[in-house]
Amino acid sequence: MIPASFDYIRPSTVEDAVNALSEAGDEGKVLAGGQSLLPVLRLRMAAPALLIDLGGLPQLRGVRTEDDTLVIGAMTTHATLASHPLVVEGAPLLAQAAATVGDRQVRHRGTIGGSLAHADPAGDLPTVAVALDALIVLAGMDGRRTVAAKDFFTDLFTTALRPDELVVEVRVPKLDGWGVHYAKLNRTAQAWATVAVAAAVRRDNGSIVEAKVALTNMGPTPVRASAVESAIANGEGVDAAASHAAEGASPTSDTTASAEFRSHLATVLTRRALTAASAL
Amino acid sequence: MTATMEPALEVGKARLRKEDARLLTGRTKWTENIVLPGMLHLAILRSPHAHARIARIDVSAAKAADNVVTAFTGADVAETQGVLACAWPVTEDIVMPMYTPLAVTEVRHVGEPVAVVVARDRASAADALELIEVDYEPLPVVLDMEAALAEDSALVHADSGTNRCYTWVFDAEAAGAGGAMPQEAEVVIKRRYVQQRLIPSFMEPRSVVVDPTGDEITLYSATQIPHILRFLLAATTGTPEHKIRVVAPDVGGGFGGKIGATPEEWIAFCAAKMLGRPVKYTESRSETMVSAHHGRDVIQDLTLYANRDGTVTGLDVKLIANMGAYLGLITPGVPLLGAFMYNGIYKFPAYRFECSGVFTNTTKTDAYRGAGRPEATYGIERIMDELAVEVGLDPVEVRRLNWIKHEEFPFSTVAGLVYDSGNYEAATDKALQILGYDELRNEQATRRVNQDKVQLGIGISTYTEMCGIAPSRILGALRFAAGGWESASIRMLPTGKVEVMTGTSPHGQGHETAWSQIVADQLGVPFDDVEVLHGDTRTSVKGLDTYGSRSLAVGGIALVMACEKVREKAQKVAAHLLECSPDDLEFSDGAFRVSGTPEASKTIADCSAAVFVAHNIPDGMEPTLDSEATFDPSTFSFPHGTHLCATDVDTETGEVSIRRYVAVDDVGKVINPLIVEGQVHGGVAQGIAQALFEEAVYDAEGNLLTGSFADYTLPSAFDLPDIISDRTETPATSNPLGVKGVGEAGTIASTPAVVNAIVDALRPLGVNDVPMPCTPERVWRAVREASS
Amino acid sequence: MELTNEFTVPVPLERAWAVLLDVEKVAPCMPGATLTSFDGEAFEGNVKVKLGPVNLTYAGKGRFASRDEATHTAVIEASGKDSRGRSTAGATVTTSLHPNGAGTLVKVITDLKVTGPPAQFGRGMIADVSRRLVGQFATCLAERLGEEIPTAETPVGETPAVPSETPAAPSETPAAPAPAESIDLLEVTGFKRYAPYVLVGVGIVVAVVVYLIVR
Repeated sequence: MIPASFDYIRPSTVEDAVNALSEAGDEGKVLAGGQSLLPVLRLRMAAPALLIDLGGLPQLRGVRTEDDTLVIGAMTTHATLASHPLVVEGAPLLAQAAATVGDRQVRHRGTIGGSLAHADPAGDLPTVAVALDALIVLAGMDGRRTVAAKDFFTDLFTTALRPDELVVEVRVPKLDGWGVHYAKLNRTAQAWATVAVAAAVRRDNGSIVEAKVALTNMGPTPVRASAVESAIANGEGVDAAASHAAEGASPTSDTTASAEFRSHLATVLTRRALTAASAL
Repeated sequence: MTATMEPALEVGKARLRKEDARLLTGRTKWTENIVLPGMLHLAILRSPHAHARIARIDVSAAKAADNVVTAFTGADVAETQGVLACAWPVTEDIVMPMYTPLAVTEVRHVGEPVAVVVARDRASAADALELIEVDYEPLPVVLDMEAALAEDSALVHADSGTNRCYTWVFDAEAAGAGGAMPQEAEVVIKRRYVQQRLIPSFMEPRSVVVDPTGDEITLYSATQIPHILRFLLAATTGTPEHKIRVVAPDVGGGFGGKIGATPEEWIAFCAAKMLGRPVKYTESRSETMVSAHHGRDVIQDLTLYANRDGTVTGLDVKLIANMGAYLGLITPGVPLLGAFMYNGIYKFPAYRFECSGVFTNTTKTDAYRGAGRPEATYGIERIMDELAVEVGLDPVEVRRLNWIKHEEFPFSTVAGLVYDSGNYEAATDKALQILGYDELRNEQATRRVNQDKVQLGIGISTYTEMCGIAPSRILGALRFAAGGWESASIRMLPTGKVEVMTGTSPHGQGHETAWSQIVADQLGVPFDDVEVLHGDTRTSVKGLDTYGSRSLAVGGIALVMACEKVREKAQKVAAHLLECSPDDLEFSDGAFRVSGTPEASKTIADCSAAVFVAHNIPDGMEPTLDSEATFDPSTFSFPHGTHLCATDVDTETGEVSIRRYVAVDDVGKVINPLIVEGQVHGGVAQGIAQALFEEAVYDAEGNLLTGSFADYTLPSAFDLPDIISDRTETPATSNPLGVKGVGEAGTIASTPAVVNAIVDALRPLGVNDVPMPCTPERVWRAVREASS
Repeated sequence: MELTNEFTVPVPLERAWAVLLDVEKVAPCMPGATLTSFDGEAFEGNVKVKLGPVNLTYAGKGRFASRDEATHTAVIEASGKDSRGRSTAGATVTTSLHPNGAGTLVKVITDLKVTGPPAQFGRGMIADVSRRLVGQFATCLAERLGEEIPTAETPVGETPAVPSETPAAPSETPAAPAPAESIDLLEVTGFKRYAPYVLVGVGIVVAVVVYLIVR
């Protein structure tokens, strides 16, 4: 279908973008990769008067390291994340998850900033951001501020972003020596995750002593599987720890799967992710 | 008098297709690419309700919007919009509701058109739709088929008094084709299977352009049936047939989904006539999902009677088939096409089939690849596996025990058909060998002993199907409104090139290539010298189009007949030029040669040139080699085969992964192996898709929940296995080419092969069925329920 | 679909009944709505909802189909359609009060029907999401009925107190999204303040709609 008509600007500075967004208010919408926004516009389920295209901001693309942190520009695409040597080395969990998003075409347009701002419960990158305790840098009329991933995703498709703010950067602490794995079950290769598990484990003497685990599509926001993490910290084995995966989660029932099945999958995929991550 | 011919040079060759260069690069004109001077664009407002009265509808604001030329409702065009016909009233007392392109007072499914905007550009038309005001009074929604048949059910069509469209019965005993159904048996297996609703997902959305300027009115449409549309437009809109031209430009796939007289075509036709200007309508995919007809949606109740040794003594089939809210072109007949196929390749002594069609507030159903035969093959091939388990036989063995042996052909089946040829032994043995059946069974045994989390299953599907639609008399006996012949004509150009006008209407099948191969051999002309024209009623004036795997088995024969007529005439001309008797001539190596003096020869091109100038041709002969032939088959054709599927089933997550898929098909003589393999690949892909992925889902309000490809799970190449395709070749005895048709065979065979494999993997866990599509959750639940 | 919510409030039945019928007190439970007319029986209004990229405006009407003093049951029927004419929504909300010791047991039964794009493109989550959102409404209603102070101000970002019987809502639930137009007080008070009036049934429906299409 054809979207309703809109004005379009492509600012060349972040400041211009923020100003435009602030001025437009309700009638403005940021365009990053467009992979989630354009279908909504085409189905006429929104009709913003102004689209602010961030594609003219190369300063928001790219990956670099700062000490133990991987710094990723918001407009970096999933395809880049999946293959960039700094990401593959410094945050392999992110690279793995990015490689599973949609299909090649989607990955070459979709961006990390867009994915986090959109906050789809079935999205892969928000989960990884939560698992890795990433920091999300926002820019607005009041300047820049940083929000921890766990505080960023507040509800269904809802984040801590204020109406005049953009995601400009994502800062991911490196986990040197940790093993990682992103286990995703989807009905077809391009489909969203029915459920997915992001796992990072620290090993000592052949067993897992610490784990960071987060779940995709087990609630309105990414779910940190703290019960699993505690069990691991208490010395429980992978099977026992994984059995706690669905605790505290509130999965939904939809045409893809029931909540019951999702909860079951969470335990199975957590076990598999932990096992694969530790490559035991 | 027939001149003898050399062995075929082109037929059997794996020729790359002539049409692919333009199709694959997009350098062709799809309907949507057509731009005509003054052309206007339509947008259609569709009902959001599954069932409602239209209390008030006001298009005045839309009419006044920017760039809008007009807007109208069903009431505005009640007299001129025509009706959408159903060509198959399967019983005398069938309920056939009135079906108009635009709803007038009541809407009966989500997506039904209620109003139209015509504007100078597509965006303005879309914008103006938002200005149309409609007040709906919701009415009770009927969705469940069995509930719809109950006494107290709300009605889809109030003045019909019932939701039951028809009940159709075939009783082999009454028809004299079989014995009495056993009253009792050592083994009785009752199963219910559900053929879920599917949405044909052709790559090119439907599109129509109507040009009323000029002497005749031309409708361009992405359709499978241009000839049939022309006739229907004339019959239902009052426009004289000779003033209508229908053109199917290149069409990007159909799979049965583009067989129809659609509301959109009729609306465009009506709008163009009203305005005197060309109009175009191209749907978006979300509109395809609710407006193009859906496939399958049948509840099957089967009862199989057998002896303890595994020989079947009777089969009883009862179907409840969802018509949807209205009857499309062949909606009521689709399930009946399977009526003669539930007995499959087997010698059953008794058989009874009954089908009731039911109306519901959903999109109408109609043909979708296989149309009735995939359902039948699924039913019988699944229940034969159940029989195997019950009597303790290998599933291959129970089939061997019951199938028609090679030496028993031709065979009159209990469904009243005569299968002309078949060799189930050869196809099965080949498939088993290619699959590596014994090794896989060994692996399966090991995994079972070890109680592996991932189990291995092997599924078999031995099928035949009836295609080459169809002998006209049989269609008449089944109350189908049209015949089943096909036509071809040949024009020999003065320079020796050949123009073929075929009545078939390809939309991806490669007829231009295969027909060129046939003509090249028949007339001894180079493959590239043959031009195949199709899809335009002004050019290929006569035909019944493409569906039901008929084009080669019926259209190809008409083509051969036309070629023979050309050769006969040319032979007379050649004899005249060579100053001999026509009987002295042999046709070999592309020329007529005097027996004994091969240097004395004339090619068909020579004859064609001679006839063109007509300076020296036999007295009294018309100066033309051109010909036309129409072929009405005397029987259906019966391709057959054996498909084997090996699947890994993860019992923890329910995921199914096809490890190996082998298809051994017998389609008779093969004209072009590349085309046959392509058809098998595509057919199998769609069959696997039904087994594992696709399902159209409605909610309790009648909303289609799977309204886009985000939710309607269509597999891609990443989700499908390599398909190992091989063949046996048992020529059909019913036509001179020995061909059987292959368009639907892959789909017909594959779905039960996959599901049988999944169930086979899970048998030790107590599972005997997994409902389709076999999603991870459904597999997981089947395992859980069996263990509780 | 039918959604049922129950909760208890420590307020006598007659007081709860009075509050329930006071549309102005109940209104703040449905954010994003503007009432354009209310004559004591029937109301009309718009609900504008934003969630994620989706931004829809539904216009509709509703009325008290019945108010039964004897059984303390009120039935509101509401229906609306979106401004693009592609989706409709209808709800019948039956609220009944029952004595529960010194307090009141409140039962809310919502019969909800949504058509169009939200259902068609929402991954089939409509029932689950509806349940969740009606639950949020019920939570808020519980507070309203349980409070002494008629008008409430619930700041964004703070978790409202959850009465014991409400269905589980995610613990970090903020106040529902996007307040409606008249938020001049935002700058002054520093709090988000809901629009004064609301369209009960349509509001629920709209929020459901919004969630679904964002997929």
